[in-house]
Amino acid sequence: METPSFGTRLKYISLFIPFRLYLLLFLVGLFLAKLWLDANYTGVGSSFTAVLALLTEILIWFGSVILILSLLSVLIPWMIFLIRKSNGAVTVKIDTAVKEMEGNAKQLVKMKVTPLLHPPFGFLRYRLIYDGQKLSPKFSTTDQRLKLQFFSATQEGLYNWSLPEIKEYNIEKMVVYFEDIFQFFSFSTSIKVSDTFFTKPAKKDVSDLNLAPKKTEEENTRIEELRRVDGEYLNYKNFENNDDVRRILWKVYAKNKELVVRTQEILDPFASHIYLYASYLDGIKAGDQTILAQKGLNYYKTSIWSVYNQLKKQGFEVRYIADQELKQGNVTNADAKVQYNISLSNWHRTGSLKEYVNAKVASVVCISSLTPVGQVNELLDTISKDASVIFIRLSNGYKKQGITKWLRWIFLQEENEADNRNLMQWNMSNDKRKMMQNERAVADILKTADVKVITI
Amino acid sequence: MNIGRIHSNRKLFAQLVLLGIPTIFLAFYVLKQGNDFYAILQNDWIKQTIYFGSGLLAALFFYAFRFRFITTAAVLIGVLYTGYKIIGNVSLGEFDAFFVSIKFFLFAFLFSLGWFTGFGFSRARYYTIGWSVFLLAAMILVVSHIPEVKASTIITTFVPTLAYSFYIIYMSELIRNMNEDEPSFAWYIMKRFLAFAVVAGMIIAGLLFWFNKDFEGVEKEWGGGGKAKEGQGSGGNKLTKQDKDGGVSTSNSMGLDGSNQNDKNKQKRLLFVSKLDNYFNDGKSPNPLYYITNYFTKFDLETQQFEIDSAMPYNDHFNPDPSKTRLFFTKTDTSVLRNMLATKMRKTIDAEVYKVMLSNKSFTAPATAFFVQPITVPKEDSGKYNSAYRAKMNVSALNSAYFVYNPAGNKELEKFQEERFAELRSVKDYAGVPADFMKYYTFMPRSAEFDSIGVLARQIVSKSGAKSYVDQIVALRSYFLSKDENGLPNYSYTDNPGVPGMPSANKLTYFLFQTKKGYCAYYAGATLFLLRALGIPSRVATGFLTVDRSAKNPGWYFFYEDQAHAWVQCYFPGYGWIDFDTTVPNRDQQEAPQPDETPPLTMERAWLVANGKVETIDTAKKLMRISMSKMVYWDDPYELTHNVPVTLDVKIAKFTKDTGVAALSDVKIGNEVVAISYAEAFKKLPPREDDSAMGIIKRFPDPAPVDEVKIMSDDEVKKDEVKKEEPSIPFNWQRTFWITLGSIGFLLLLVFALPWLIFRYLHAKATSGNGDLKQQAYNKFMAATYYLNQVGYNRGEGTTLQFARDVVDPTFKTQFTAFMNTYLKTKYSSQPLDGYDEKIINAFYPKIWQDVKGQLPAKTRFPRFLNIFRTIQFFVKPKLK
Repeated sequence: METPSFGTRLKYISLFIPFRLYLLLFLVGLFLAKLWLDANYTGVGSSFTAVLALLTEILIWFGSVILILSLLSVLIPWMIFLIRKSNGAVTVKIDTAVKEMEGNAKQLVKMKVTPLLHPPFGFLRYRLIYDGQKLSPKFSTTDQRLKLQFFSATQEGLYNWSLPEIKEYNIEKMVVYFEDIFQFFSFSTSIKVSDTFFTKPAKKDVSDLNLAPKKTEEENTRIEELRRVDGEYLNYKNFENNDDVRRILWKVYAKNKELVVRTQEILDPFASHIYLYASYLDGIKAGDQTILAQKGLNYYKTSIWSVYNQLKKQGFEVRYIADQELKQGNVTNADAKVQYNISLSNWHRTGSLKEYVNAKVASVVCISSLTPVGQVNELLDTISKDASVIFIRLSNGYKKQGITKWLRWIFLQEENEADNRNLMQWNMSNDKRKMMQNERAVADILKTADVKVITI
Repeated sequence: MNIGRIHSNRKLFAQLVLLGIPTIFLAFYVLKQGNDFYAILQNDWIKQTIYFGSGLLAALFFYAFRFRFITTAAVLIGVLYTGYKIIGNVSLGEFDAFFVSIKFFLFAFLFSLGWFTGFGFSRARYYTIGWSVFLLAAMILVVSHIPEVKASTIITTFVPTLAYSFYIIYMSELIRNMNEDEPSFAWYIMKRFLAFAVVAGMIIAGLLFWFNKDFEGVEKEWGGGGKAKEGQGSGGNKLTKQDKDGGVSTSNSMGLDGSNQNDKNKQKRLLFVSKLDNYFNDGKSPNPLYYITNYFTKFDLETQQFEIDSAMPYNDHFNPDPSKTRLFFTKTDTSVLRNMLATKMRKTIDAEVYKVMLSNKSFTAPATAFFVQPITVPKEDSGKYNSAYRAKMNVSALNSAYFVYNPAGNKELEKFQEERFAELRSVKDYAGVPADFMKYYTFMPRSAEFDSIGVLARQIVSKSGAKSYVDQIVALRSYFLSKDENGLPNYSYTDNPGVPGMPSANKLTYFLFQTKKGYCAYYAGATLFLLRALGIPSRVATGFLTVDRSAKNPGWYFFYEDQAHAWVQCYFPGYGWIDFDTTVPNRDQQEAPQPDETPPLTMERAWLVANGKVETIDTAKKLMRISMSKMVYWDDPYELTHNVPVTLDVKIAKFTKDTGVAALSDVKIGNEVVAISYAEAFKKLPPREDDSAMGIIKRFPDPAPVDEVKIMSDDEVKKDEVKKEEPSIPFNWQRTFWITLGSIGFLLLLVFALPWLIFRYLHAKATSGNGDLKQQAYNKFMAATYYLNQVGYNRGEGTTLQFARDVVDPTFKTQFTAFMNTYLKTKYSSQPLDGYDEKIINAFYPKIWQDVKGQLPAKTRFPRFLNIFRTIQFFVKPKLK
């Protein structure tokens, strides 16, 4: 974990400031109001000034009482929680689960903290700190408690965390915020938790892929089932020293006192498997751009996962060959393994396409706009003619800015303004030109290639 | 084009119902209140609420989608501005264009305000703070202008805004923080809404209970009393108001109307009776004068109204509280005589006022009063009159109530009026009048609306051909009395000119140009604008019009509630302020003269008033000697440098005390008494020019005859002293601020100092040597572990012995382990302690403290000691694992 920058540290420290900007604004507002009222206060005995003074006093009292109540309403549960925390009495349970929805997956965080008193009339909010002091947004959970249960020392709830990237996340800490009725105060404390989860690529529709499986395996498997085999002696041989005694055919021995064994059935290698290669090679060194590191990569991962699923759906036995060494997740099923691997993959700049793809067995090779055109050329030279190349154009993975888009931008606030910034940065960068050039070049040579080409 | 959503339908619905609707209701309420104060609103609050509400709801709906604010708001403002320009250019006649564009402007403003607020609720979370605080401050100002100062009215006007302001901060935050996935959304909101309502309700109820006294105080001092008669109902715009003490006083607001006509009986309520020694030159025909209570001089640009301004330049308003001056003592303010800026045709006259319904605190007299002396009500009439005072004033011989009241027909009066006009015509210009005076009393705001008044004023004057100022004024008066081609009057009197309320600038413009119907305040206000437009210094006076109804008792005037009145005064250099009344006669009213009652028996004049302590009493000779401390002689107060013994002859004197009639036997030596004399003997002894108090007293007959002796109760004496103290100062913001800041600071200091204080306590216990050895060991143990804990060495999850052995001793080279062994022995072993143990215990404590202290720099120790969490941690010991 790299040392966090000063800015990050400051941001981190600011999480624990016990009051919010709201309070400051409120006080500034009151101060301005006072100036205004003072300007109107003539100081001469009249009903106006008498009422003005009285109402101002009431306002101050009302404000003070509310502020003090607010403060107490958070201070007490917070103190209690601190004491319990120091006693080690607090347990936090965080579960993460993905709820598959149509089209996109919802990342749900399910959490349970006990004992934790809810500030009366106030709010309990949380923030998760993950991957080395990265901050989740402040969130409140949906209430999972019984509806009529006003007081409960257990907080349990769900939070739908929309995470932008498809990757693995490590939750390190949870910050609990005790906020009052008006959100003036925000007392917080952090608790260590540890949980790991990964966001999964979504499936999208991919048209049927017309592919031929390859003869990839030299299978040397014994036929497990004994069956009658026509032609006596044809499939037997005399027992030799190294033969498995279990294979001796005692029936034959009973007939003619000869020890024979059944010869191994050697299957003809047949076209049984699809070897799926997906290259994350960033040969043109543009993958650091935020737009590619997030949107582009997501698009690539989603495409690959969709291809994988489509092939499975078409009844093929698919072997996904990863192009980078990654840790094995705690998953058993083969599909989940592939998914986990895809989730964790990242652009890399080591090796080459040629080294990665075994031209003999490769049925499908996925390449991206970041795969250098030279390497694609080399691949095309070596790869067998019945293999397919799936070209995933990363430029389809993010929105483009056009004139109409600009107009839209003027009047509409996009969901994620950061995306717009990234996009703008990307549009102005040299890397974009490089990538687009490469993308066009790859597309050109794929047009003339005599392998099957699918462009996504 | 697919426009994304920012808020789901659910959230939008919550915003509309929980933020939008309450805000619209409040806006309705505020606008309704505001219409009373701000002329520009033109009493159209329902429409205005619709403008505001539609802006608000539209924005809430609109900004639930992903629209940007700046660009969309710019488009909106552009559209509204274009509309405004187009309307301004379409010629509809000068006045219409003005009013239409004002209306459009109002629409645009309110719609935009609603729109902006809607946006704030929808998106800009900090907006609600500003909105609430602004609303609160605005409402405080509006409520403070309330015409009828009544606790319940103030509360009902202010509390909704107060509650709303905090509600809206809460609710907008609640909706913002709402988890979109919350399944039981309605319940979630409902629960919190109820909780808030309960808490806010409780706080408000508590505050109201707490401040009840203050409300009543304000009401008592300024308002129409809590016991206000029902049926006065819609009030708030009357000339008179009910006081707490049951008396009636003139209200401080200029708003008057005759809506109280509905209650005929009330109109016939007698307020006071007055004797005014003002006669025409013949010396017999009484010349009534208007009685003044207040002047409205300053035009408040904000409320668009005339206001009483106690800071008016050349303040000639003498407004004492007669109930605060001791009986027969006097209060004089001669500065008003200088400030009235008049020398010609002035004379000083006397008036006596006997109050019936008029509040004891009220003072009313013709202009320009400078002297007040509370007097007793004659015994025969004591059931009828509450209190009385005598006033002196320097009046202009040119003033007369007859000037207004139909001189037509009465040759004498017409002649008098003509003489006055002739006299005033000599005033050609205002040269020589102080510039600040002119500037203040001719001030008029500038706007299209006021300019149109100026145009009208000049039209009237040029039509009449009036040259002198007085003729111009008469021309204005004639304008109001003018008739149209059908012979019907252009302007008429009505008690109900449409919308009740105070006539503000806008209403006056409406009155002048459109409705042409109004009551006295409308005429006075409109005339004032016309006069000031002509550059004539003028002001509105409110008080009572005086009607001479009694031929039997010349000089006696009866004032009924319906005589409350407003008129204008114009300033003429040298002559001072002269009354002019432009109100047209009320044609509907049956002018039935009141059958006036018998006036009170005139009191003799009190020549001597003496105040002092009783020294000796001679009951046989009916003599009493007092040491006199204060004296009023021939209306002049004398402060005596030292007490002077005076013998009083009380043979015919009437004794009173606050509980009623008394006798000489009730007087005790040492009592404080006030003696009053009407005796001829004093009448023959007028004070000389160069007389000193002692010189007068020396000439007193001995014994001095007195007619009345009032025995002061101790309470009264005390009250008198208390009265001298400063009146209660209004709520001091700054003081409260500093006190609050101070207490917060003190609390913080306490919190931070607490760890140290606890240590000092433990340290004192450990070093005191109290208790047996076991107890001492425990004290030392506590002090040492606490100190170590506080400087950052706590035992963690191990035992203290482990902690001593593994942490403390190696770090600080102390004898903690040895002590711990002994300490554990004292705690768990039944073995008696020997001398060795005692030595260890005694050697342990102060030493370890000094060792640790010596080895840790102060800058490390200090911040650690501030940390209260360490202290909490120490006392909440973790369980041993």
